[in-house]
Amino acid sequence: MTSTGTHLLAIEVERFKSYQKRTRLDVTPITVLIGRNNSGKSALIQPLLLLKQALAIARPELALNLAGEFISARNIRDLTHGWPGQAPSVLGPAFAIEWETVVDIPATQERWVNSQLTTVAERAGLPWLHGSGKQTLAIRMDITFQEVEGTTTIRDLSFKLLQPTPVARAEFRRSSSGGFAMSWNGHLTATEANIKLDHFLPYVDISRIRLGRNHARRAYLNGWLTCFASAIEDLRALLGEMQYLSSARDAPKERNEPVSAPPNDVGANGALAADLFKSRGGDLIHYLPPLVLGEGTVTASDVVRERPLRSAVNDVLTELGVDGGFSVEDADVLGYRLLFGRASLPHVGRGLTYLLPVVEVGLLGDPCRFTAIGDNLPIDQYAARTGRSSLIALEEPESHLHPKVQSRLAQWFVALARCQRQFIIESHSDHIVRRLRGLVARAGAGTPLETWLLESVRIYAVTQSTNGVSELTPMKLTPAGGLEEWPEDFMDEASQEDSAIYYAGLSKEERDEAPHKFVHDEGGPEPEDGG
Amino acid sequence: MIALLDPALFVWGSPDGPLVPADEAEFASLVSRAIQACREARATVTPIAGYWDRLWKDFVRPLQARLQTPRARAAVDELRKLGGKLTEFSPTSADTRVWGFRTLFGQSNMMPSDWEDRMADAASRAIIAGKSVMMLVRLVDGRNLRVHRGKQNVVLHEVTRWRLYVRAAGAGAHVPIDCVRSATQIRRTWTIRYDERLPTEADGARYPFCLPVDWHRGRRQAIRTKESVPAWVDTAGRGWTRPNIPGGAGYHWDVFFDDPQEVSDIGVDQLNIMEYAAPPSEGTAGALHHTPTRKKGRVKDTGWRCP
Repeated sequence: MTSTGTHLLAIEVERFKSYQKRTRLDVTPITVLIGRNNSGKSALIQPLLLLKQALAIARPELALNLAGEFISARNIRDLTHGWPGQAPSVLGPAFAIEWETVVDIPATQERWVNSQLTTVAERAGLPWLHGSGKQTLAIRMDITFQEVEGTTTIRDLSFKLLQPTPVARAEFRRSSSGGFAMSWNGHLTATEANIKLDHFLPYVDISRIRLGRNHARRAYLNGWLTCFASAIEDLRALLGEMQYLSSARDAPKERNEPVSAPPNDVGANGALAADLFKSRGGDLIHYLPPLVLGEGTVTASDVVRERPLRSAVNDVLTELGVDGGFSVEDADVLGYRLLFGRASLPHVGRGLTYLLPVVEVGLLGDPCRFTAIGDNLPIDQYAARTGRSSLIALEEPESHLHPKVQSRLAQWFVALARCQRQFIIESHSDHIVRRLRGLVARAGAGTPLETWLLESVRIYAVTQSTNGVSELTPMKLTPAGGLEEWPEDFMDEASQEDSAIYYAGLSKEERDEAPHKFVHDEGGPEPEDGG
Repeated sequence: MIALLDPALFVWGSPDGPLVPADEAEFASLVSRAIQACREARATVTPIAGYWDRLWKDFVRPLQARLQTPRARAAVDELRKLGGKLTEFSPTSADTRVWGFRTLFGQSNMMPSDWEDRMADAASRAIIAGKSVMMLVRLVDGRNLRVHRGKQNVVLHEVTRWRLYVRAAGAGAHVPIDCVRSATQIRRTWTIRYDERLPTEADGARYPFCLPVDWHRGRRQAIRTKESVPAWVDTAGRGWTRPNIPGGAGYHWDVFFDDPQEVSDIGVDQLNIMEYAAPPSEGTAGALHHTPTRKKGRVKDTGWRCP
């Protein structure tokens, strides 16, 4: 197992920006997207951001929020492949999200209305309900958007239980009045009177449906409750608490305003990084330190630290090879200054101002953030305590960083991914990718760390054809640090340039000396030596 | 320790066009093993004037342009990084005597004939400067390799040039240079000539291949025909040959012995003995691998010791 508890499994996109055909991104603890500029890397993170920013606004009647913090578009056609023109009805992008969640069967049964276990298990087609305790479920949500008379709406919405089998499916179809009716495995189960949508997430009010205890529809409704109702809440939490940092950053300020409300994230552009450090500096965060490299070896700590955010940030910076530390200097009632050493932030190197939000985002991905659960917790106990992973999406975390820090970031991302964080990283950094490969190569053959890395790190090459269609090529690491499939020009610029410099140097420094003729005793007996 | 590179490592197929995939994979493997040997021996691939620049310009650069896989390209990059700064060892005098260089570098169609002197020059400069030298080589059939094929799928690869010698003018003795292909050959030097899969007493073998003391001497015959198949011969006269499995695969040696006393002591005249470095699931190096049913009642598992 590379992840435990609720976590994302995959994203699929179709007709979205440069993705024309359905394209699947399997999400592992560390998913790295590489590719040329404008190849379609960000477009694989944006479905999550679109859904996240929809849930963030208090207007449940809107399927999506197209004027959010992360993505802004005039209409859904702007985000649809091929930029279709205006029409009464336009088919928009389709997304699929797959995630894993854990359902507590006895607790779920308590929420059932008027049903027997055997009836639900048999009629809803969920034989695994006869098991006791907790059951891991793999869920898929398919959603297709459309524009009708200038308004973005949901065209199709369905949920599928992928695991355990047999597959169960709940489909929501629009009725003529514009509402949704739900069917369970093809059987009409709930009408629009009992279904409400919170943006794109459906809620079925089961208590107001009058049916006998053995009625098949009753079993379907309880099947819905068991498989999807709590899973949808887990998806809401996963998206709501997803941390995201874009490649653009706001310039640091000489003096920051007083913090009125402590933030829970750094903002898409890192604008809240200083406020977070100031206002949440004393709140507890859980994390692992970067993996440590030795002579051809790598070691990983299995003990999760609990530290106030402020000291955690400075600890991590030190371990990334950045000496000095951040601190806060109060400036009366006018606000505060964030200092690195004794210099205020605008006067330190740009790399540091870029690094701070990356470190904070990594730390904030702690599912138990700001809660005391104990220091030095073994990694498995921490995982059991959190019960879920959190999502962290980073665009070019390497920006403005020294190559050594970039490489060490890779070591830290792996450490964090081992403690309930899932990273989706869009990067141009040869250093990050090379270090990820280097960690696998250094990990002892057959060790748990090697196994974890081989299962948990996926690198995807994103390419765009001349007609503007993006494609995705997954690449698995091999135990020797190679890749099972190498793309044509996979991050080989540096080594090719090294070769070019070397050979050019050979030509400039002609040092050819013809050797003199030697006495070759080839025909004679083999010489004697000391053995 | 200074490692010199055999130019044949970089000569593959027609000089134009990409290598065939199997050749490219073999090239990457050979270079990777050479790099591991350097690490094991703490050797540097020192750029010695007169040899290094020509090697890279005439052999490595043209090959590098033909490589298709990142693994092969990375192997060349790593090899180059082992080079370090150009070293200007003093030139040697004309009466420095060398032995074995012509076989490796002067008689093949893989490189111009002046390479026998270029390689001799590089080796003798380093030796006269007081350095130990090893040669990182590739086995090429007809040059430093003879392939023995017998009945029942038996194929043995006999190395025919495993050491080179240099004697500087005025020096009393020849200095040997081992021709190395892997890190294992640094730890188990005799495998520069003999098969790496032979188990010895040093490997904890209960039925060891008894290595002749003069294993490195050319007069010592390494392979003979036993039971109509080619076999490695140990100091006790036992013949070690590959089992009747296509390509010489399998994880054991078929060992024949004809000393009547030994046959009497063990109960049979042939055993199947575990090779060295087989997967642990197959058994221990130098132990009995398996005994056919027809022999089971007769085999006395006594082991043997080398004289």
